[in-house]
Amino acid sequence: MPAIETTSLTKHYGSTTAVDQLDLAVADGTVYGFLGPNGAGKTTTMRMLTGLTKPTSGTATVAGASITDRDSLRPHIGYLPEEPPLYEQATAYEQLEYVAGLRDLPEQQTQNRVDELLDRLDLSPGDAATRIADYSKGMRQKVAYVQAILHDPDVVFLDEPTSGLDPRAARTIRELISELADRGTTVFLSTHILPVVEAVADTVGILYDGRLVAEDSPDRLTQRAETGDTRTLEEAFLEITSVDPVEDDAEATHG
Amino acid sequence: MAETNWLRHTVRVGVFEFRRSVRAIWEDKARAFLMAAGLVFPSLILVGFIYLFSDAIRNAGVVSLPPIARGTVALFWLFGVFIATQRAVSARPRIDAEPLMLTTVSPRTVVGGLVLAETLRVLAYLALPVLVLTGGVVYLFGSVFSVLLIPLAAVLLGLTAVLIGMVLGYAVALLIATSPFVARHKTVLGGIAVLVAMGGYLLMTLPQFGGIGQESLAVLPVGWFIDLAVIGTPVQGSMVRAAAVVGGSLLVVVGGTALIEYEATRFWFTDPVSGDEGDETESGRIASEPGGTRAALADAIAPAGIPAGISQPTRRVAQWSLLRTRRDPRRLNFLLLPVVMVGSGLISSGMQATSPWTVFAPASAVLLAWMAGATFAINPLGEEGAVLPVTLISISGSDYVRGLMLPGLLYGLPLVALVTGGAAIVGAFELPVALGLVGVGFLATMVAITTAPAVGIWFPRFSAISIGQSREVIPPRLVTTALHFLGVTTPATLLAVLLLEPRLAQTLIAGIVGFLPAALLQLASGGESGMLSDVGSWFHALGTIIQSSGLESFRLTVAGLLILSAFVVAGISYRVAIRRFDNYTPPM
Repeated sequence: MPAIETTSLTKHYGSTTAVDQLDLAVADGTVYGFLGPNGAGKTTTMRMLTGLTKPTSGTATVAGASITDRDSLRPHIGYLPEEPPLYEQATAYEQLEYVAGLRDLPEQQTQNRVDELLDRLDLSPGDAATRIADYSKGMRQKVAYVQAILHDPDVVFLDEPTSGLDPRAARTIRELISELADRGTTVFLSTHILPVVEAVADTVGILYDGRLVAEDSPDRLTQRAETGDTRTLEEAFLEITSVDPVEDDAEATHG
Repeated sequence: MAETNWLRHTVRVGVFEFRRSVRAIWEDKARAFLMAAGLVFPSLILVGFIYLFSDAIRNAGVVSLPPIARGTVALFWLFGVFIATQRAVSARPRIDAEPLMLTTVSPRTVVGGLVLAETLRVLAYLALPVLVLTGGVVYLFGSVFSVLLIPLAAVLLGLTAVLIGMVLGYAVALLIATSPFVARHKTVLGGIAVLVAMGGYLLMTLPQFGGIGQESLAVLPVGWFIDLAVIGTPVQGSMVRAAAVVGGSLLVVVGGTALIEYEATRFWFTDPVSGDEGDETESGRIASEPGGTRAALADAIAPAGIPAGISQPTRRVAQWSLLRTRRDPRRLNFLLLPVVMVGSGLISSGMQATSPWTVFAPASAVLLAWMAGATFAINPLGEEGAVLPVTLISISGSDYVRGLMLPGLLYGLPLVALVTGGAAIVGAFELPVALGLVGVGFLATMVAITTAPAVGIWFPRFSAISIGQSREVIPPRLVTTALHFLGVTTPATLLAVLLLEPRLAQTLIAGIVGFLPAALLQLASGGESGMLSDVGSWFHALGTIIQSSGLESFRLTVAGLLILSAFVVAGISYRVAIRRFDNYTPPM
């Protein structure tokens, strides 16, 4: 069974269609790069898949749990939204201990894992004992990332995980994403930093105007079917997202 | 449904949220001090009262619980519900770190945690007075039951008020999120609701007004908490009522939590409707400015407007200030605190004297004037938020400060004049006095408008005042509000008193400027001769001179000085605000 499976998943906000008939099947233990221009519906899709937003129609399961059954869904997922969900008045240690407690994680094991992850992300014990209000954007991002994977979820949703990070930390995050997948965790990764997707994703899906307009491995997406020569993922993305999906659809229908 | 261990998680969430509140308050030292003072002083007064009247209280013998006691407790509970509702609607309908919490624990856990945290906040406020009261009752009557029952009654009172307030608050929040009409008119509807609530409060506390007193509330079961608290003391309550209030509270806890869970879950997972009339702008109804350019800001603030002759940067700041006020009225909550504190006292004393209108005109000249200044410009830099650096490099200080002052001048000033004048006429003041009151209102508004940007830019607040308000609402610092409020209302009140009761004003000034410092210095000197004593004598002489000077000349001199100072302060504040803005370095 795929780790994430959606069937005709649709979300309307009034007369606006944010996500339109989305069909996805993300294999277990893989990294799925979810691309799309601003306003394409990526965050709405992520919010639906994490149970935070109800779909207008369609169905979806994550790690076998229906996205409308939040009680079954919660234990299986981790989520790092674009805006790190942290408490300004807490320190990183306090924040992570709190969240671990809410998930009933064993204390000693959690502490070891927190220390290990923070160390890998170059966040010193001194920093971790400082109030989050005093953190830089990158430091917040690191703590929020640790928070998202702390309970070893089956599927982790990452929305711009390398945003605000320096090159070293961004590389560490990339490595951690690959390690997660190696350990069997499915990673649903949304980012505008295409080299990150190119480096870690097994499959790339491109969402445009709420619709999935392309889906393949990065290697195949970067190859031109007509000529056989290669292009960068950025070039592929720009070409795919420059077509009017409605026109394209009409052409396909009439053609 | 909820996860296993949801009760344990609820406690964890509640305690964590409460700790965050405490930290937020602790970081704002002025607020922490005022809150501590607000708890300690009444408690000390209570201690003094118990100590002084202990014999009289003990000798009073057995008395039955009067209806007014139950009515007062009921009114207190209703006030608690009002505050809890208001907080749930305006400050805390959404949770902090929402994506984290809702993907980590069940909504029931979050709701339980929020209820627990709010109850702990209420109990933190009540703890010291309740402790003193319990100690006092045990000391007076040797009642061991009181050690348990008074705190129990306080806990149940606080918990039920929080629960019912949150049930109502989430219902309102859900209505705003699902009804386009309510979303569009939430400012007006909210204002009406607050007025109705305050009207109800006045009806109960001021029987002269509507003939209904607090005793009328004694029939409400929420007043029966006192029946529980007095068990074991010579005050005879009703055991049946005490038992009923305990049973009823348990029902409220179970039913209230379930209802809040239902409402909050619907609220958190509902796509809120928009209160903007977006379709109209999409269909080309955006007005045009002279020259045919688009006027989105002008359209958004209509029917209010800023005259076209004003320079564009100033006009834009003024338009944005108006729009911000209209779209986010919650930011004006800070206005309520001083107005309710001072206003209710004023109205109360006025009611007892003659009629409400006799105090309404001077109250409008003083309080409404302050509000006209504070509404638009008391925390301008904080409200700019992330845009502040762009604002600082985009506009001159003079344009910015003028833009902040403009809405107050255009709308606040005429409103104060109109309301004060109208109230003075209805209050049957003589024409010169009515005109004088309008003048006081006019002057106070001018000072309020010009000083607000100066104080606000000098003491900006960039972070939230407490947890839960941090997402959008950035109220001014307490010290900023207090400084501006006192700076505007103290001289304005003095002017109004000079106009209405010059003899009282003379006595007050003689006391404050002369006799009070003289008495304090005499105390400090311990009655021995020396420098302190000499200065004290000088102050005493000054008080005597003021007290004995001719009333008319005193009135003219002090009024002249106050009016002159108003103009000087306004001018200096304007320049200070501009200079401060031009040299401002935003925090990292």
